[in-house]
Amino acid sequence: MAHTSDRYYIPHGSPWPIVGTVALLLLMFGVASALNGAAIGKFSMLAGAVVLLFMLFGWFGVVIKESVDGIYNQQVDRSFRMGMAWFIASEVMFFAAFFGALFYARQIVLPWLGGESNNFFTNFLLWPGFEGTWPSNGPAEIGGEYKPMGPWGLPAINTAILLSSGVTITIAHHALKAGNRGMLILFLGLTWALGLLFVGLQATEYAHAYHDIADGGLGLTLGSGIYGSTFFMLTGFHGLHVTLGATMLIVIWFRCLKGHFTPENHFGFEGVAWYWHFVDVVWLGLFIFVYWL
Amino acid sequence: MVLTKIFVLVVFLGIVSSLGSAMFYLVRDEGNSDRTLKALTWRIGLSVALFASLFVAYALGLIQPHGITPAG
Amino acid sequence: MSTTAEAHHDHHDAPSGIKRWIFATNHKDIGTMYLVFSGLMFFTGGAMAMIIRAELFQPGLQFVDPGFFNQMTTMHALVMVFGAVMPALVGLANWMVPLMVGAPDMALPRMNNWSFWILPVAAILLVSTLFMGGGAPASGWTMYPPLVLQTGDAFPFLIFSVHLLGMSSIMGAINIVVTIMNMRAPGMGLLKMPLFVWTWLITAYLLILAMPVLAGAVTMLLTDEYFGTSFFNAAGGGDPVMFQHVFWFFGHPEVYIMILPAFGIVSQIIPTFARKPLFGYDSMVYATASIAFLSFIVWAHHMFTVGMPLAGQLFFMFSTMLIAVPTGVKVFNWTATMWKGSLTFETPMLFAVAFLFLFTIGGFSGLMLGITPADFQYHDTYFVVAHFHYTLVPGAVFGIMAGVYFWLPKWTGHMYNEKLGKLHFWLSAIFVNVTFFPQHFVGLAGMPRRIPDYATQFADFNMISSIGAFVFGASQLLFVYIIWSCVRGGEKASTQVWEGAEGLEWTVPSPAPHHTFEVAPEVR
Repeated sequence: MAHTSDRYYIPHGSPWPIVGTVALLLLMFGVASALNGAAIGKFSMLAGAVVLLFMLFGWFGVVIKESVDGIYNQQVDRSFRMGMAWFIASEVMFFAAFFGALFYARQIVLPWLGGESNNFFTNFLLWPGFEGTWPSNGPAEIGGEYKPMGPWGLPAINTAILLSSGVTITIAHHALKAGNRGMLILFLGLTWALGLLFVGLQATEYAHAYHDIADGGLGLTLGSGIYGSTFFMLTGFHGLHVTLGATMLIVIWFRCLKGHFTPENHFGFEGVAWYWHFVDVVWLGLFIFVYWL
Repeated sequence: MVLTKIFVLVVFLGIVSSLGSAMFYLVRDEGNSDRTLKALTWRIGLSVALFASLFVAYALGLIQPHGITPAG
Repeated sequence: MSTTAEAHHDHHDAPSGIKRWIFATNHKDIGTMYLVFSGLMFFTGGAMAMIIRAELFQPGLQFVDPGFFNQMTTMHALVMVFGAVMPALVGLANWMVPLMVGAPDMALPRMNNWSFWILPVAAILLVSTLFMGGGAPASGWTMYPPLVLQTGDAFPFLIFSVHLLGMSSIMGAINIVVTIMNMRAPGMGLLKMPLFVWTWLITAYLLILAMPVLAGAVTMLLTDEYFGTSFFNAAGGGDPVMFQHVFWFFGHPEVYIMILPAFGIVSQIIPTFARKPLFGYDSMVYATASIAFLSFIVWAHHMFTVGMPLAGQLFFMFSTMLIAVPTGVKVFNWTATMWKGSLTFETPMLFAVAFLFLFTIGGFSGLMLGITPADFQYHDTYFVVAHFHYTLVPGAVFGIMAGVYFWLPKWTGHMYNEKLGKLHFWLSAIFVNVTFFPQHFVGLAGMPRRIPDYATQFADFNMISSIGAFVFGASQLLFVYIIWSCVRGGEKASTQVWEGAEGLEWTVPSPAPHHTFEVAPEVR
């Protein structure tokens, strides 16, 4: 912060948002068309993804350059912090919708289908003998036979991995505050490596789940009734966020290598670190609610 | 069983609130204090402790993963 | 500083040509785009309403087939809610919030551009469904499964358009929160902020907390349709009613998202034309916050008839009744502000007073609907249609129109034509009632909503309602003409514009220059 502006920095025009808009149009049109079985869908999707990546590089590139040039003052820094905080708040609510679906299904839907509350006749007439216990793929046993995912083995190892990555990023954070560059780079590198390892193991776990029981798998798919739906929706969206978080960590790691952050001025680092902690806590919630309780 | 579950939930709430206060300090202190870092350290410490205590509770027979009937 | 890359190209000239708009980072330009977009969508959704009312002019099927009729009711709602009302309010916030708090611009100008430009893309995806195989979505804007899963090719386009609209709203809301919390001029304490700023701050929190839930709900619809999940399928252990819970957890805050900023606009206008400070400023702020909080714990009053335990029905009934308290505080305060004021009735004030009166009618019919046992009779009848149109048309839309007349001189530097403005007001105010008041009667008598045909005993009231709608719709063309001619020219507006106007926004010249408050003003 050797030289900061006394004025709030306001860019005069920027091409990146409109590029992002075009990317979204191509991407959304592509996915929707692909779901409808239209041949153009895939191409549009691919084009959208490419433009989106181009936009992300361009936009973040500009912001990083402006930051390094010292154009941002304290007030701009605060705007970024607040923006990040409220973005994460919206992410929390997004996950809340899926957790809500899990709780509602377990605490209300299944007991009711099993005849609890005033639903005796629903149960008696529609699905006599169905017991609303968890886990369940419903009275019609949608998706066929499956085994639930237990907490031991990969899930427990994955939890240990993600928690360790939380420890390493905290050490890196301490190192950054203390101005210890070597430690910072080492432990930040470890963090994203652990993140990628987590994603890899999660993919292995999914493959294991998707195999038929006869083949030594679990026979558990997205289509395995409400249990499969909530399991894959929650862990899948979390996996997406881990991938995103790991990508951001890698970007930040390169910025650390270039020496972009100082013990006093490192919002980029703190924002990503906080995001990583958020992803980590969501996993812990998943581990508790999806695998244990 | 129920008590163990309540214990797990309470610790999880503690983790979430330390994470929440870290966010608050992230915005309030603008990186000029150690409070963000302190709260995040708390949250990772609690998380590791909870993870370990799940193992202990299972070993002592205080908790069962849902839907998995105990062996034998 | 001024040494480095902040290349000092002239700050006071707006960039010209198309680049000014597609690369825009200026809050006034972006606000203008939001308002123009909203106007286009208002007429698109309005045209659909005209088709609905034409079909309902007489019993029997006259113009459109029932399937298309259902597409019209669905699209009318989606276009009006997400295309017309919300963007208009965000546009007003973009224009006025930085001026009111003494900020040089919105806090995150590039993101501001993105949140606007996503809207036309979402609108294209949504409106294009009208031309797809199987037609546009026809399930009602609430998108209840399993009905919505029968939508044709339009289905994924509907879902993604909702995702994009949500992204846009969340980014817009984050920008507004950050601008208000971080960009206020020195001395502008939180409890000194104009009420429009306060109501928008609280609305933005609602948006951040509610919109992601909608995104989650429609994502589950998408996976149920294409990836074999069973979230809303009882056979697989899910429940279609679960969608209604998740949807209305978003949906109820959403209705306050559309009305709270209108409360704010009215709270600016009434003190100005009563030439008195707002009565009970602090209580207005607390009332708004209470309404926002309560909006998250009343959602199931939209679904009393789906079957829920008695305790649930009682809880949601009483929490709903509770909202009448802070709303009552607001209505009382607006009335008390006018009490013994030296009132004049220019067009913005007329719209504000009509808002006060007619929104209260909508609030009362809401109370009636909130009573669980009574709701079993009213549910899904035209009474519901009458209720929410009273809160949204003479509520939110009149609030927006009042705001547009109020601030138009500040934006354009010209006074609008007061005579025509008053004519527009009287046509709107009379015919909005002709349109919607009879719908209370047919609803209480049992006419269901979302149908193209009805029993003959409802014929007279429906004809009156349709005539009202046609005149109301036509008189909005006058609104466009008034705005157009005001932009083109007219009597010069002074800096203060209105005799009783107070606040930072009335200290900058009219029209407001491209950049304002580059050096923060001092607020006493």
